[in-house]
Amino acid sequence: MFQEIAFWALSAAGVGGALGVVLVRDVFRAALLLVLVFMTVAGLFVLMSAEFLAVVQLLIYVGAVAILIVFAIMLTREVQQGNLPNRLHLPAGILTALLLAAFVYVVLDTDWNQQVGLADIQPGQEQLVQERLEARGLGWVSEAVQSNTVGGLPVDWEDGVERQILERIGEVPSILEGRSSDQPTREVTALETEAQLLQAELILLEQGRLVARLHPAFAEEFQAATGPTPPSEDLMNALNAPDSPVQDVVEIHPKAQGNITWWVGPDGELQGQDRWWLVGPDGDLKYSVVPGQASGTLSVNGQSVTVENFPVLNIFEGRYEQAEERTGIGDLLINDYMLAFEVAAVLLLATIIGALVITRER
Amino acid sequence: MDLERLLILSGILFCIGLYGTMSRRNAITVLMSLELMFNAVNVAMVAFAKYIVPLGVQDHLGRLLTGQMFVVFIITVAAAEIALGLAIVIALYRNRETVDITEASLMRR
Repeated sequence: MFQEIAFWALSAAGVGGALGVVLVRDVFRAALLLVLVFMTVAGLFVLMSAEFLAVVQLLIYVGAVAILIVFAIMLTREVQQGNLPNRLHLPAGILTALLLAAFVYVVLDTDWNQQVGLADIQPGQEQLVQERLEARGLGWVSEAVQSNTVGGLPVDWEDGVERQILERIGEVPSILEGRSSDQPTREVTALETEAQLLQAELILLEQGRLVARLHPAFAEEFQAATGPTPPSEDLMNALNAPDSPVQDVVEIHPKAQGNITWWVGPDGELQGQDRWWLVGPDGDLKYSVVPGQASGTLSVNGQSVTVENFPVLNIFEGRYEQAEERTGIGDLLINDYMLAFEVAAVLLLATIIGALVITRER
Repeated sequence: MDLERLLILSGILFCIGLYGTMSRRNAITVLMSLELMFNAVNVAMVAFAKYIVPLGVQDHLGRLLTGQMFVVFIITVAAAEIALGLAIVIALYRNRETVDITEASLMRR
């Protein structure tokens, strides 16, 4: 909600300021309106979680470019003559209006290959979602999509799926009725996992780090259904041992008494390595959840455990790296874009020399 | 924050900048309009970086920051451009006592 308001306010200020830059007759005021546009763009960067760029935008554009422009206006003393249009302003207006229409048409007409979690599914996108789910080995979700049911309950496509799945969390214990909670079926486990992932995603976004846990509502209901069984001390000792594959237990949700608990590494590392652990009711390791590859053999607590092929909705990939953004740009600049960095530095040097040569007194 | 509306906003800013670049006489306004266009492109870059995942490089660390790297370099080039452009404007003013670019017709024919 706040993001919506901020986006529309920034958009209105940005477009109004940009129109002012072009149309206001006083060049000096146009320069000040340009500063306003720069600031709204910085605000948009923040909204798009590009904080570093927002700071750079403020420092370079507002701090340097705007000052430079104001200096140039002062030095050229044409403020009184103002900002007149040339002869071509009418054809230019028509041309840019046509270009804008073309932009809008292309943007709306293109099927952008957006990274959709289940959160972003819109009515009419069922086919697309199904293809992506099948590509991830999530046939059961795909079937649910086809039959318009999730966990045996009908899906209302008009209403967005993520929220419905989150609502289904409360339904899982009722699905478990008549089945042994020690041996949940693949379907139920997968549904739980998905709900956890969806919830964990929200927590990840809130905290900027990875702390996965169960949805509190689900934990309470599940606890009420199964009764408390704390994790064994042996397991805790094994997990906390120096040579444990899990370096640190960030959080143990009360859900440990029930069916599944998430364990997360010290820095919340998710990418690439075995960092996610599903622990069963007896404290034994059930599954290691690795994004995109959820099977293999693991050794914990002196025991070798074969991990089943566990369906995992891999919605974390993108979001996780966003959380790492602050250090990411520096890494990229030093490692991957070193040559471009050097070229930009040489370009700036050439610019300095060029500006000095151009403005030199003869 | 949909991708589409960010792209449309970027397009609006770009078109306003393009109109200013093509239709104004004051050289400094033309340069300011150029800066508007740079900013519009930057908004689009960051929006793409946030919402679009390039296929085939999904496992590469930092893939989502490629667009933002573009923006860093665009900002660099824009700063260089505005410095050089204003130097030219001042040189023009010194020689011709005007910043009207329709007067700057020395290189025509």
